[in-house]
Amino acid sequence: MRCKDFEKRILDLIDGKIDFKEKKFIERHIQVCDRCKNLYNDFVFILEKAKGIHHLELKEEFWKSKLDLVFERRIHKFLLKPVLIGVFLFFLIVGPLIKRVYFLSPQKIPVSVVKTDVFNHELPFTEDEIIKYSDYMSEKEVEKILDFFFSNF
Amino acid sequence: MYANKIYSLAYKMVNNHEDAIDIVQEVFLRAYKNWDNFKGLSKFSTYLYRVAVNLCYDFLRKKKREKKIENLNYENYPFSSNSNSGVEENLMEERIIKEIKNEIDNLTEKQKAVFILKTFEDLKYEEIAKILKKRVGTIKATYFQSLQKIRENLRKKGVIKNEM
Repeated sequence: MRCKDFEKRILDLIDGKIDFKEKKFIERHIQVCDRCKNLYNDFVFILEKAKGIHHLELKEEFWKSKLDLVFERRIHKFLLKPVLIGVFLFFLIVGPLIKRVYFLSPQKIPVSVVKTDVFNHELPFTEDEIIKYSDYMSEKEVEKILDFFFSNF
Repeated sequence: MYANKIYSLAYKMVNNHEDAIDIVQEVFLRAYKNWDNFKGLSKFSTYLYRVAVNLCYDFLRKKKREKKIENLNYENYPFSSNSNSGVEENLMEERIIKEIKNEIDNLTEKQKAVFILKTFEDLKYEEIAKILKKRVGTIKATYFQSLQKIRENLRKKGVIKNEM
C-alpha cells in the first residue's frame, strides 16, 4: 500500500468502515510508515478532542415558546393580508347591492307621491315599473304601499 | 427535537448564541413557508440542515462584510443541565479543545459545514452530500482537507508534536 492509497482510506478507517482484509493491509503500512501513522494518530486525536467542545443544548420549553411566538407572528402576518383583501372584495361586490337595497329603493317610490297619485286615481308607474321598483324595496315597504293603495280605493 | 440539532449546527458555524437562535427561527420559518415545496424526496432533517447551512453561509458572508465583533453571553439563557458536561477537564485539555475550536472557526465556510456535520452531527457522507448538494467524493475530500488544515495549524502552535 502506498501513502496516497492510505490517505484515501484513512477516513473510512477512522469510521471503522473497512473490512478485515483491507485493515490488515493498512496496519502493515502504518507499521513501516511513520508519516501515515502520525497522520492517523493526529486525526484520531483531533476528532476525539473536538468531541469535547462545549456543547450547548437548550431546553425544549425554550424552543417551544420561541418558535410558537415566531409562528404566531407569522400566522398573523399571513392572515392579515387575506383578511383585509377579503373585506375589501366583500364590500366591492356586496357594497353596490347593499346600496341598492337600503338607499335607492325607498327614495325611488316616495310614499307621498304614491299617495297623491292614488288619490287622483292615477298611478305614477306602469305595472312593469311597479314590479321593477318593488324589487328594490323590502317586503314590508311593498306591503305598506299596497295597504295604503287598497285602503284608499 | 430538530431545533436543538439545528441550533447545535448553527452555533458551531456562527459561533454566537444569539445568531444561532435567530438562524434556528429562520430555518423553521422557511421550512413552514416552503412546506408545499418540500416533496419528501429527502428526509425532513436533511431538508432542515440544508436550509440551516445555507442560512449560516449567508450569515457568515454578511458578518465577514460587516467585520462585526460580538461577545458571547450565555448567562441569560436556560441551558439544560447536561450543557456543562466536560467542564471538569484539566487545563491542558481545555487549551487543546480551545485551539481545535479556533481552528474549526478558521476553516472555510464549506469545510466548516462538512466538518461540523460529520464530526458533531454524526451524519454519513451520503447525508452530508445531500444537504450540501455535492458529490460524496467531494465531501470526503473536503473533510480530509479540513482535518489536514486543523492538524497543520495545531502543529504550528505546538499542540501536536508529531512529525508530518
